[in-house]
Amino acid sequence: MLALLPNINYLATILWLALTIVIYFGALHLHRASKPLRFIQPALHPLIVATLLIILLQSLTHTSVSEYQEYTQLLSALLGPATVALAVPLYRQLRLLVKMNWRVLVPICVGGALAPVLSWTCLYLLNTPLNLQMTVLVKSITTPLAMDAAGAIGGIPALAAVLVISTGIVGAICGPALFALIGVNNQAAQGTALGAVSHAIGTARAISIGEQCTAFATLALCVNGIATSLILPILFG
Amino acid sequence: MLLQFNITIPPALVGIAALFFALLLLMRVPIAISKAADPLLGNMSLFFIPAIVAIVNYIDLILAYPLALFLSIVVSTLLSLAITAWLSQRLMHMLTPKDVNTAQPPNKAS
Repeated sequence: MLALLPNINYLATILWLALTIVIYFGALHLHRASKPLRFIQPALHPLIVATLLIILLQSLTHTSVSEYQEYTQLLSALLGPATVALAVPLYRQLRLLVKMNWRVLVPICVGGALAPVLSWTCLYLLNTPLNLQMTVLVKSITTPLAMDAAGAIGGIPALAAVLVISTGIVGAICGPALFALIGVNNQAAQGTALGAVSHAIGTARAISIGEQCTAFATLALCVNGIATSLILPILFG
Repeated sequence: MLLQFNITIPPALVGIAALFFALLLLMRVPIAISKAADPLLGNMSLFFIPAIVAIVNYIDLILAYPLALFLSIVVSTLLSLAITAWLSQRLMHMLTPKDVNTAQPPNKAS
């Protein structure tokens, strides 16, 4: 019996990988097909639909989150190369980025400072525990940096990952509708905001807007990630 | 040293910098690299799913501070996004509106 166990895991790995991929592409099609339903479309974002379906399947099959993450390691492993690939749009848009110079750096600094300060203020005014308040300061930088920085300033690294991902999802889902609402139609400006506030998940959303948007989001993601994780330990370390 | 930087830069950011400088030296994007990069970028959201699913583990915490977390994660993120985007557009428009304000051909995937 024991010899069969690795085979069972192997099967589960293939099944969960296939399910995740099928659900993701199904969710993508649903999202595109729902375009005429303007007001419902943001709620049908592939990340929401796919995540909810997978959570449902997990509870139906009594699969724990850690088991699921083990089975789908291949997908999380591709996140690294995908992030590195962001150097391509960054390079292709280099001329425009250099031309923008401080015009892109100032908004990145403003967004990078505003997001944690606003979040912290909400938690401070509502008297939440101090470690939660410290953790929320890292919400707008990419997960690995956020976990390190949270640990350095008395926050909780695992919780940091959750807050970071939630912040990313909010930006990815509501960003484009929000930009339309406030009349920001400039791709470079949209990218800068998505990258500075909603880090890598916002940048993943920027890819579907265009290459210019992606390049500005990537720059904002890198600059804010590094700046925040250097500044926070100096202020609170 | 009084100040110690205990921050390890994540490998992915080092990777962006390495590939970026390599492209700078090459002065072009080789076809092999763009062929590898495009599908990875186009489906980047897919690779986040295993990490996002882990949020269920923290449902207790979210339910313990629903208002505080709603305000600090949803409302303040939207506010920051709006202000940052608006400021960027104001600053960038001063340069060359026509250069930046391109019509956007929608790309594939989300």
